[in-house]
This record gives sequence, structure tokens and C-alpha cells, in this order.
Amino acid sequence: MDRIWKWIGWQPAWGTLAGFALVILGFALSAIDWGFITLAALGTFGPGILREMGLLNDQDEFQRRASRKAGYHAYLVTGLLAFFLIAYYRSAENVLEKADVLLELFLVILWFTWFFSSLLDYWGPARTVTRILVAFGIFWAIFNILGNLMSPVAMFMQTLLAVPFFLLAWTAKRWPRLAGGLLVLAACFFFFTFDMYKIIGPDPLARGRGHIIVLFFGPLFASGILLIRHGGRESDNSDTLIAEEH
Amino acid sequence: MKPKHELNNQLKLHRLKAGDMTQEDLARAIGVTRQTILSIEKGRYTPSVALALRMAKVLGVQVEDLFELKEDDHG
Repeated sequence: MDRIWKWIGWQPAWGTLAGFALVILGFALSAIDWGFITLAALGTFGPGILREMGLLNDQDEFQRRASRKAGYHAYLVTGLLAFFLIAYYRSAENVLEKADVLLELFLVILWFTWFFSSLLDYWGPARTVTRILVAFGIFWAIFNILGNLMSPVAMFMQTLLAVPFFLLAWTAKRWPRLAGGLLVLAACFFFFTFDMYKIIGPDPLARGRGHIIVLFFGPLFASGILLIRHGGRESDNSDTLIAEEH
Repeated sequence: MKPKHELNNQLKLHRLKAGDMTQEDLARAIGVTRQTILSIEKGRYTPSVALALRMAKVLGVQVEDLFELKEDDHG
């Protein structure tokens, strides 16, 4: 097991792992009854609450700092979005018909921000971006292979669309700022191609659209900004570090 | 605006000097995860004073040998 964590480069505390298992279980059982989704809530927030109460001590100081930082980032992003949405709904007299869709969107943003921030702490900008791009490429390839099992030509052609992700991952290591710029452009391209901009419109929170933005546009855009901002810093084995005075 | 200081980090050097100690060995000796040692060595994490002291003790050096302030570029 240690080897797997070493390879992943992120060894979560056992409380985090137990929480993750509860989230999966909660979502799986929600197919039977939505009441089970409370298990996902317990899994997401339970370990953190227990740690803050001093009842769970499963993290070292680096893990603790990463958790708190990720939580703070999630608070900033989700809070900001909440205010924008309140302004949008109250000033434009837009009616929110399905509040649960909005709540789901908040949860997805919360999880995504927490996860992305954690990855950054554990892996650093360059490695985080490279791995996200490789994961995107693999996901895209598998998605297209499975979706075109009956048509080898279509399968081949559409799987080629995964290649840019791998190329960007390769570029990110060598020319991080160039890759960052390309990623921001790609994110903007997808934003319009997949009609993501329609999140602001008469049907702002159509089921699924918000999730696509968070899970597709979000990682690409955030990765691009990261690469532009950090460049190649921290991607080498430099023994220099930046310390902020608190 | 928060003032920033650059630190020179010699942890990896002293870890290897101390009988080719691995990150895992050092982590176990001071009660943290290997990821913590890696993050300190990579410069992504500045340890607490207590942890820095524990590392120095295990490696048989002074904290100043592991970390030192660079010239402050910001005056």
C-alpha cells in the first residue's frame, strides 16, 4: 500500500480515506433513497469537524496545513459565487426553479476547489497540471474508445482528440508559460463550444451544465493560470524555498 | 503586503550526509509522513519550529544548518 501512495505522491490521512469511502457509499446508496446522501455529508465534513474538536489526530502538520488551506480556498471560491448568484437572481428577477441543482453545483465547486488546492500542496503546480492533463487525456481516450466500439475509424479519429492533452502535459514541463497560455485558450474555447456561457441566461442552472463547467472548464482554466503564474518554479529539485512571514 | 523571505534549505544534503537516510527513514524518525519531508525539501512547505528542531536533532545538526535566511531582496 505504501508503494501506491508513494507512486501517487499523496498519502491522505486515514480519516480522509474513511470520509472518501463514506462519500462514495452515500452516493451509491442515494440510488435507493436520497436520505443516504447524508452519509456523503458525514464523509466530507465529519473528519474535519472531529479534527477541529480535537477528537481525531490523524494528520501531521503538513497535512493539517494543506487541509486548512484547501478549506479556506473552498470558502473563498464558493462564497464569492454565492454572492454573485444572489445578485443575479435578485436583481434580474430570475426565478430559481430547482434549488437542489444550485445546491449540487455548490457542492461540486466546494469539492473541486478543495481537491485542486490539496493537489497543489502535495504535488506543486507543474506536477499537478501535468497529471491533470494526462488524466484528462486518458479519460477522453477511454470515453471515445468505449463510445465507438462498433466503429473503429470513428474510434481512432475521436481518440486522436486526446493527443492535445498529452502534448500539453509534455509542453507544461518544458515551456510552462506557453502551455499555461494554451490551456487558458483551450478552456475558453470549450467554454463557448460546449455552450457553458449559457449558465448565465434564461436557464442558468440546467442540470449538468454547472458540473461541466466545474469539472471541465475549471481544471483546464485553473491549470493554465497556475502555469502562467508559477512558470517552471518548483518543478525542479531546487533547494530554495519561499517562506511567508506570518 | 506580507514580507517574503527566501530560505536556503539544506535538508536533503544533511539527510544524505547522515548515512544516506531516506525520506521515509527521516519521516518515521520524526513522526510525519514522507510527503511532508518531500514538500520541505522541494520548498513547498516551511516546517514549524518544533518540527525543524526535531529534524535537526535526528540529523545531528543545528536548525541553522538546515535552514537559513537569504539576503532579504525586499529590504
